[in-house]
Amino acid sequence: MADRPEECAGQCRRPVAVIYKEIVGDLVTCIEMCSECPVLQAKLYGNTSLTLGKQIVGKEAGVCCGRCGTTLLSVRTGGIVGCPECYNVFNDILIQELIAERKIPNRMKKMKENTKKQVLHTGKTPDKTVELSSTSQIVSLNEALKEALKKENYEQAAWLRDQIKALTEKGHHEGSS
Amino acid sequence: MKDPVELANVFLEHNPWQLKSNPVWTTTIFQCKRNIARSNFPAKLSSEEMSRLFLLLEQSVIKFFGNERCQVIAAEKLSPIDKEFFCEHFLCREGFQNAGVGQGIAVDFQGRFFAQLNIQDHLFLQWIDVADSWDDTWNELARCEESIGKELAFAFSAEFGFLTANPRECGTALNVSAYLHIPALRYSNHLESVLKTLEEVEITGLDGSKSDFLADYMILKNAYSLGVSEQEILRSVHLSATKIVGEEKRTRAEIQKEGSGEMKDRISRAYGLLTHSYQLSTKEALSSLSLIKLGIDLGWLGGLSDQAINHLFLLVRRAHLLKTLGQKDEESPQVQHHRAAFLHQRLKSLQLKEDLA
Repeated sequence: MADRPEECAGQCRRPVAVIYKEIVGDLVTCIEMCSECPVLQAKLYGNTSLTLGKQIVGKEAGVCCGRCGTTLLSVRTGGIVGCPECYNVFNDILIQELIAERKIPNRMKKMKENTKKQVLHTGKTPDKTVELSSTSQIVSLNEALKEALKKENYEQAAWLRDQIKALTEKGHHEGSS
Repeated sequence: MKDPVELANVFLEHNPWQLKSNPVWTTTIFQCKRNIARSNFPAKLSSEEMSRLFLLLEQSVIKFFGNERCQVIAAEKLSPIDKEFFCEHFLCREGFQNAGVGQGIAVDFQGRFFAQLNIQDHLFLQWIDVADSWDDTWNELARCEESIGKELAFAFSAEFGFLTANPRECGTALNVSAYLHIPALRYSNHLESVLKTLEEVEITGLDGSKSDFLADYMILKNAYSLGVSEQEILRSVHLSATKIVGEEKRTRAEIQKEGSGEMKDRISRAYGLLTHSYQLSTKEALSSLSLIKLGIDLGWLGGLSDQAINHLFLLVRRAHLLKTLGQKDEESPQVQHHRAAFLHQRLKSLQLKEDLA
C-alpha cells in the first residue's frame, strides 16, 4: 500500500482515487491521492512541486469555526466537523464537497444547481414521525413483480406474489385487531 | 443490572440471526445518528462535558426502554475483548475500541437494539430486524428516536437535515443495510448483471470491501442519506434486496436442477475443511460455513438447520469464540485451533445427503 502525500498524511480521509507512480532515475515513488488532492493538481498542471499544498495549508489555516475551532482545511480534506455551527460556517464548502463526492442524488444536484434556494434535505423534521405500514413493502414488491413478469421470470413472480399475499393478510389482520 | 460478562452470555445463547427464516435475506439493520443541538460533537468535547452528556443520554435511553429491557454500559467497564464481542454481535462496521470515559453502549436484552453513546456522534441508534418484520423494526427505531428527541433537542438544519459529525452522513442520517447471502449468484457469475439493475444503493462485503464478498455475504445499503426521504431510502433498499433475493433463489433452483458437480465439490470440500481441520482462520471458517448454508438450502446436507448455521456465523468470530469457550485473549494459532475444535463439535450432526455422498 502506498503512502499519502506528506501534506495530506494524517489529515485527508477522502477515498483514494489515484495511485501516482513517479520514476526519477532509480528512484520510484508511489503516492495514493484523492480526486481533489492539491498535490495531484500541482503534478498534473505544472504548479511548482509540492508547494501548492503548503500554500493551501497556510492560506486556510486561519479559517475556522468560532464555536469549536474546526478548520476549513479539515473540512476540505474530508474530516469530521466539530459542532452544529460548523454547518453554517462552512455551508457552501460542505455543499460543494458533498456534490463532488457524489453524496447527493443526481436529481437533487440538478435541482440545487437550478434553484439555489432548494434545500438539500427532503426527509423528516424533528417534530415529524415516519411510520411504516406493510403497504410500503407491498408497493416495492409489486414493482419487483412487474419487472419479473416483464422478464418472463415466472418463478420469481410466483414467489413475489406469495410475499404480497402474506403481507396483505398481515395488513388485514392488523387492521381488524 | 448485568455485568458485561453476564450480558455476553445472554447474547451467546440467542441472537437475532437464529430467528430469520429466509435463507438468503439474513437480516436488515436500521441505523440512525443524532446529535444534541446545544452541544459540540464528541470529538470536540472535554472529558467532563462528555461525562455530563453521557448521563443525559443514558437517562433518555432508559426512559424509553425501562431498566428491565435495556442496559447502558460505560466504555471504561468494557474490556477490549468485551468491546470486540459487542462489535461482532451487533455487526458494527465502525468499532469503538478506543472508547473511554464519557462514552459507552446501550443494549436491549433481546439483542435487537444497540446504541453507541458519545462515540463519533452523541447517539448512534441501531435496530436489527429479527423476524422478517421490516416495517415493525423501522417503526421501533422511529419511536425510539422520537422519544429521545423529545427529551434532548437534536441538531437539525433545513438545508442539511439532522447534523452529524461526518457531513457525508447528514440529512436523514439513516443507514439501512440488508445482509444478503448470495453464493449461487457469485459462483455462477450472474452477480454483475444483477447489480447493474440496482439504483440508489451501495454494495459492500462484510469487511467493507467493495469487490470481495467475504462468506458470500453482500451488504446492500442506501447510497444517500441527504437529498432523499426516509421512505425513499426504505423503498430503494427493499426493492433492490427483493430483486437480489429473487435472482439468488432462481440461480439456486437452476443449480439444484442441474445437480452442478462443481458446486457439489465446493460444498463437499467445505464440509471436509470444517470437520477435519486442526486450525481454522475466521475467513476460512466463514467461507466454508457459507457453502454449508447453501448445501442445507439445496437439500444436499442435513442434520442442521439454516438458523443453526446462522448462529455459527457469529460464534466462530474471535471474541464470540473466546467468550463461548471461557478463554481469555489468546494468540492467533491457539484461537484458530479452538475454532476448528469448536466447529468439529458443533457440526457433528451435519450429514452429507445422497446427492453428495
